[in-house]
Amino acid sequence: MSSLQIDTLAYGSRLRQLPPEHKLLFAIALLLITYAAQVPVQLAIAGWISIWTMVYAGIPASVYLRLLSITIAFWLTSLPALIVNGIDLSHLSSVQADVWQGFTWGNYYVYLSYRGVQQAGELGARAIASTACLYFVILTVPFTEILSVLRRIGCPALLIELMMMMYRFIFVLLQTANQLWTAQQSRGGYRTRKLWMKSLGLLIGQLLQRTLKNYRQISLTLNSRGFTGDFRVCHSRQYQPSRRYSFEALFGCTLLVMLTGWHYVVGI
Amino acid sequence: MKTRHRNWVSLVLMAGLSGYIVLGSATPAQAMHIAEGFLPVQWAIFWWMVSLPFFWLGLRSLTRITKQNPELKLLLALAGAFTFVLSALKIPSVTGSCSHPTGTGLGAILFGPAVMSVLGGLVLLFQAVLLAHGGLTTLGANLFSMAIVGPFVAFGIYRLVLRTGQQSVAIFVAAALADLLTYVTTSVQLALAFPAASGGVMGAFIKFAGIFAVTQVPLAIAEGLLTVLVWNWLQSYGREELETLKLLKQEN
Repeated sequence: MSSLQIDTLAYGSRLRQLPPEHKLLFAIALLLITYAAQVPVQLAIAGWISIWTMVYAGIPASVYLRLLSITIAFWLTSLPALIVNGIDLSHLSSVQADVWQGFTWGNYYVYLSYRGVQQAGELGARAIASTACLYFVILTVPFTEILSVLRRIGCPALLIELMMMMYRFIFVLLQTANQLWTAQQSRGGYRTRKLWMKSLGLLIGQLLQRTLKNYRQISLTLNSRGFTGDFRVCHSRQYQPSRRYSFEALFGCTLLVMLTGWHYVVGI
Repeated sequence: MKTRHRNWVSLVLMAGLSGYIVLGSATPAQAMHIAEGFLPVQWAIFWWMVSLPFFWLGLRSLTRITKQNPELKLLLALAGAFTFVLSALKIPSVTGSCSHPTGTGLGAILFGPAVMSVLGGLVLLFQAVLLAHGGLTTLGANLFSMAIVGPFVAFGIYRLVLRTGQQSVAIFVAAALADLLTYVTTSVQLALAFPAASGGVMGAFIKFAGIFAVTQVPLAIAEGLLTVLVWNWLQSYGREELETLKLLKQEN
């Protein structure tokens, strides 16, 4: 809990030297194609971008797949709601065409719907493809670089400053929370459910107190150094665009756009 | 042949169900973030359109406050980071697994709902980027349920129940209802996007709400209790801190 794994991996990825704009544009383009495309193209996108993340960027497959399982778990949770349907026995004839499998339960007929299965399939493909695009961004572009891109495209200054400071404080507070957690556990906290709630309540209260102590200390520091209301940071990182990666990205995107267009024309 | 076919189907169903239960219980119940890519284009855009005005209004009032008092930027950022860390903690849940508190109730009571609509949005962004919970296209929908409905409901109810003079009750009800309404809103969002073949949006809502109730109702109660514990502690040991936080609400 004290360190955020995704963040660490993003700083150490093998695609770090590529300009962040390129990676963001690539992922956004793929995301747009995902939303316009049909299932086969979406699956192709998911596979292709997973290769970028796991092979080119060198993100461990175990971590990547574990992250993907979050989305898959959400999909599985909503699966019953999508495909199981219930209807009053008297109205059964109206949905006969939609019934795949079913049984009678009291006055109701509970069935798996064709439309639901189809919908769930389409949803799954789209969710996995777009999640893979998002993960490519968060696993290869460190947050500070996303911020500098946002600053350049004209995001409100206050928002950028808040995000910059939040990003810093999240790690400070996570560490504090972790230390509190360890201290409580070593003194017998969190043993039973009731104790757990009590310990957690103490932890949150303490954390808030320390957060505000932090606030007072930092504002004193800033004032003593002539704070005028702006936070400025310097960025001096050199990026190297890579011809090979740009070519593959462009070529692949063109191919996917053509495939999607072809699907629309043929009407599959 | 017919019975054979039937056996096959029931076997597949059984395998599917057990796989579902095993996978579903292995992953800790997340707070109700709609995952990336879950909403169809039109709904994703719709919820962005609904949420952005709130976010923008919140941001405008924050800009005004911080112009007068630049130090408050720090306090805001720390409050945001605090909310993020809160949502990364684990609370025990009835099903044996752990879930995460949403922190919207406590945040709204401590920092005020208008501030929370901006901070909540940023927290959601950080959750998507650093924890891979939620997503960018669904950020609009999540923003609406967690950073707008949750905090405003929490704050409104807190104020309402506070009139009776029962502060602990007010805190509990506010935090628990904020959680519950967040989850109801998410179910509505999913139901609108995926209406059932029979029963339409209402049917789909009942199904989604029923499924998520299993994890979300105990979570809401747990979070309500937790918030009361935190508040009691702050009342007795953190008076000074609560005074500092009034800065954010007064100038709102």
